[in-house]
Amino acid sequence: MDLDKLKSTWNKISSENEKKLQFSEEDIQDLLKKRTLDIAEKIGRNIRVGIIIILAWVCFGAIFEFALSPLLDNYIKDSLISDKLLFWLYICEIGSYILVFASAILFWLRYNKIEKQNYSSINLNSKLTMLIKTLNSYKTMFYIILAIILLFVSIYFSVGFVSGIKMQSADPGLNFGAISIFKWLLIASAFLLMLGAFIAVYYFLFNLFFKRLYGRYLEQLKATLKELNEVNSLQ
Amino acid sequence: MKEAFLNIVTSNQGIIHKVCSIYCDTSEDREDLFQEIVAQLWRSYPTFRNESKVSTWMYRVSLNTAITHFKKNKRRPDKNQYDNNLPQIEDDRYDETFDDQVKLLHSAIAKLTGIEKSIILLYLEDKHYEEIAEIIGITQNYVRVKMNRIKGKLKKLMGED
Repeated sequence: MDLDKLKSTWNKISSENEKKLQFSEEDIQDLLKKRTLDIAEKIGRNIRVGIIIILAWVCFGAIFEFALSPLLDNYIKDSLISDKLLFWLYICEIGSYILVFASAILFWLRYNKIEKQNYSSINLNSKLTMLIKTLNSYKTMFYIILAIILLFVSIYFSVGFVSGIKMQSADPGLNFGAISIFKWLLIASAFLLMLGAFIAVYYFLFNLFFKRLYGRYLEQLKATLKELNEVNSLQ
Repeated sequence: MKEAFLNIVTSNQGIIHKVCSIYCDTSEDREDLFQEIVAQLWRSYPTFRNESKVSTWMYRVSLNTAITHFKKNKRRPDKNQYDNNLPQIEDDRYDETFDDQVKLLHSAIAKLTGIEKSIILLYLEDKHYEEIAEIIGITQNYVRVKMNRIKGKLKKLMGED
């Protein structure tokens, strides 16, 4: 089929469609009323929901640490974790809450700045750049939060593991001095393996979630912008 | 303002339908995109000051929206679903050759990139290079070079090496 034939086929299809698909002003108005969020608005909504979840998480953590933990401590007389370690765990926990919350707020401020600058633009290059910037900073925020959570989880995991060994040492039948270096290495390897597996599963799930959500779309946008920017090499 | 907007969009809705038909395979996708284009047109309407033609503004917003449209992860449509979305011709006017041409046209266009689709759509709509450049926001030189590449690509895809 040559291009002239292509044009006539296209014109025929267009006129058929025009006859079939005709919306009235009321239909268009209805569409505007029930319109769904576009991609940038969806990211904005996701981050608002994220901030609420983080706040809820902080509240839950605070209630657990400051209201429930003292109650539980009354029942667990011989605490396996020293007060000094407990204090550092509190610092880590509060620090992780602050870092996660701060990164979400920073992203929110950046998102608003990008949106205000470029959203109203109808220039394709600006729109693509705006979307890529938004998705990239969303991705960065996503991974910063993941790193903070993984660090926090690793600390708790390590404390739990050490406490377990400490608990075993309380058993009078066990003599830790008699354990060979080889067995200690084995224990350390098992610990690192478990920690590694734990981190890998967390990372895999987070990564999969982001890729499934926006990964392919982000790649498409980048490819389109690259294609559009070919203009520089043609002039 | 809303009345004037509705009037403009209703009388020029053919532009949106054409953009939707070139960028979407299924009627569900077309409906989603149509709705998003109307929303984006409404958003950008306050900045439209009749400096360019209504059709130029509508093509520009519609194509930008279609190129950056986020499609939810869905299963790929099967062949039958694709065929069902081709224009329906009444039985007495049914033309098998035309039907084949439509299929060929759709499958060839589906293999083009987002920007190539916008250029070929405007070419099929008899727009000059100057207007195509204005709508897409690129230089006429780029349109010319790109158009030659697309023509070659389409000829190849449609079996005319």
